[in-house]
Amino acid sequence: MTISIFSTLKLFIFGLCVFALNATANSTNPDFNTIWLEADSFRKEAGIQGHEWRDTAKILLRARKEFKVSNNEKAFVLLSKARAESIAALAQAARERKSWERRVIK
Amino acid sequence: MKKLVFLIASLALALYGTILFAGPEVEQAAFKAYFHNKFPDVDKADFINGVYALDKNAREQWVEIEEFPPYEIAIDEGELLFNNTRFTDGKSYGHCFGTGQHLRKKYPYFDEERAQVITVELAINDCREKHGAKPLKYKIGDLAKISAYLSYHSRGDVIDVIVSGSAAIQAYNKGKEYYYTKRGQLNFACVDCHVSSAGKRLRTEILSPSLGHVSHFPVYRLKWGSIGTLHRRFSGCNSQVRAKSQPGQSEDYRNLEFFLSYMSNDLKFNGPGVRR
Repeated sequence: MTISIFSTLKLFIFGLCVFALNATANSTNPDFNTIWLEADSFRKEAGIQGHEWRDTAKILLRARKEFKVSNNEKAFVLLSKARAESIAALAQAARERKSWERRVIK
Repeated sequence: MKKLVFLIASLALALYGTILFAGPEVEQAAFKAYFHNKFPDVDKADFINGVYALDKNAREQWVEIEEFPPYEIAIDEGELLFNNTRFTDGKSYGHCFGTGQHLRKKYPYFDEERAQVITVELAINDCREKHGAKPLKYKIGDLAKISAYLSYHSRGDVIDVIVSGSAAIQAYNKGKEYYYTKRGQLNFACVDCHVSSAGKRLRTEILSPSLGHVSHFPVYRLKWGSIGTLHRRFSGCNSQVRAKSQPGQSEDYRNLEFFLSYMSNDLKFNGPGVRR
């Protein structure tokens, strides 16, 4: 009987720990937030240079929404896509600063 | 011998400089020559009709649409808005623009005092704000209708944009840079579709040449089902190549309009137009 009470208590404490860890992970997952902020800063920088792509901001918002409802796998896929778009947009801006003049009709 | 080498070097440098830093006039001549050579059968004045100058079948359909043009209602509504609007101070558009006849040929121009390009749509909203009214949306609706009315009464006037002074040249150069710069996920510049691919098919549509592009705006697009301004079209182009589009009358779009209008100098205004 004693063993059974201890087992139930252990199970309850374990459950509490898992819940607490999960809740912490969802609200302040450092990886997601750090990557999200980084991707957003790249997007903003591309925007300042006139090269932001059409859907990057929307993808970032969708990633945030998915993460809020604990759909982490999808959230990270979207985040990765948005980050890649932002980096590619910045690369495009750098490349175009040097190459646009070659297209001028002379 | 030294003199000869110096002379040749100077000439080469001058030639290189001319090619590299060709001014607006030289660039305009090259731009026009490109299209005249690419489409030798098209009458030079016919470039104002865009894709309908290039394709016989599309032209036939367009001519039929023009018999009962869908932009006609917009002109009428624009006329009412232009003539009947009274601002809170009792003034009207007439106080800013007179009768509104032959107005479009004055735009776009570079305003030295404000150090920016002024387009007709910007001037309309400037007028409203000056007289205490709220600005209108730049790409659609009442502003496009007023613009259509003004365009209609400028038909036949010659595009005559002046690029003079360092600040104006700077605005022109910014417009030029925007035109030739690739952007968006699809990595396209304006020049990719409307110069090198002009006359070719993109899915079901034939791409129009840039020369004469600005002459027929605002346009009633069958795709839109309404009349829209040139900046609405710019915005659509940006979006189609998956670049973030800009708000109407952004500095970039006004500089682009300035550049494109200068490229089409000597052609005639024939707006508003109808396009698919």
